[in-house]
Amino acid sequence: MAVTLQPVLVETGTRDEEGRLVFVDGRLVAVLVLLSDAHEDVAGHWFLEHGFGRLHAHLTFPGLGAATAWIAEQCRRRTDLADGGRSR
Amino acid sequence: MTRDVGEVLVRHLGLFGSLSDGDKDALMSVKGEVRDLEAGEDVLTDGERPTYSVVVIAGLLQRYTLAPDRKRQIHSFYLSTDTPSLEAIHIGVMDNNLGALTPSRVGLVPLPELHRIMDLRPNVLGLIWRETLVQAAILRAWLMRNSRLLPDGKMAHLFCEIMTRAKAAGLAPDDTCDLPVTHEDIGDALGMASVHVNRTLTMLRDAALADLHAGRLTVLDWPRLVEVGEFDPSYLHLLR
Repeated sequence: MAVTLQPVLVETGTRDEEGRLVFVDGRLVAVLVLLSDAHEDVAGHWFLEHGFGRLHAHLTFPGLGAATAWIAEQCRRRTDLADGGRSR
Repeated sequence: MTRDVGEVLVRHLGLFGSLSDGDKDALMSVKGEVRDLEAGEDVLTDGERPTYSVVVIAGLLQRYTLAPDRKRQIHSFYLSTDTPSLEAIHIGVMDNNLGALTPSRVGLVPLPELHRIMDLRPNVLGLIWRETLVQAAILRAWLMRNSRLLPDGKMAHLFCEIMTRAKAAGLAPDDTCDLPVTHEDIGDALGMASVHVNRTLTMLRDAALADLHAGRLTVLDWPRLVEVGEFDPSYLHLLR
């Protein structure tokens, strides 16, 4: 499972604009946005602005590594659900 | 400040219809235990068989349920002089929780006391029925708001409702009232992530529509806030 990140500017209507498109095996699965200092205790964290399919959630991660690890885990579970775990 | 259980009942039921002097005297005779709650403390819990109905003497209460993953949905905020659980008169088992969001003082009215008053005063019985129907109307408005409005509209609608109810209860003499909630509380009421709550609040503040700061809600531009929230207060069925 290959997770790749592509920098992008995101229109959130606020100063949170630096983002990443997250691809898993070439498919877009999520959009992450870096939280500005307007967010006080979570400034500098990455927000799951939009997740597709099972990634539909609004979570905040302390770094890109934690975000991509969670996304990869969810996609792995999705694969397991789809084929009953045979691909593991 | 209202200090008495009976006084809360007179003030709150009086929002929805007129009370005769006899009705008021009967309500003022209602006795109940006064209890102080800490922030986060529940007064009625899901699954419990209620023996009393709760009135808010001071503070702020929430009605909420928990999803299987323990995520919270807030169904209503209750301000000072609200009567959040009159339905306990006829519902045997609680299907939701009622708790304090901030240090609060509540009155616990034994259900037999309410039955006694309702038997004596048909007009009070009618107003209690009307009050619980209004609770249902508010719940429909919350469902519509959460399902159909955009984030700024949702928040504007909530603020309009709180301000309208606070004004009716005499708690907001100058377009400002207590609303000691966290971003998480608002998110759990509107079905929004805290990040979206923070952004939307900033948007409303920058647009000079409303501000929520240090536990105080201030409306800066009522006509525009009403427009953004598509707010029509008729569902609150207030006399004034």
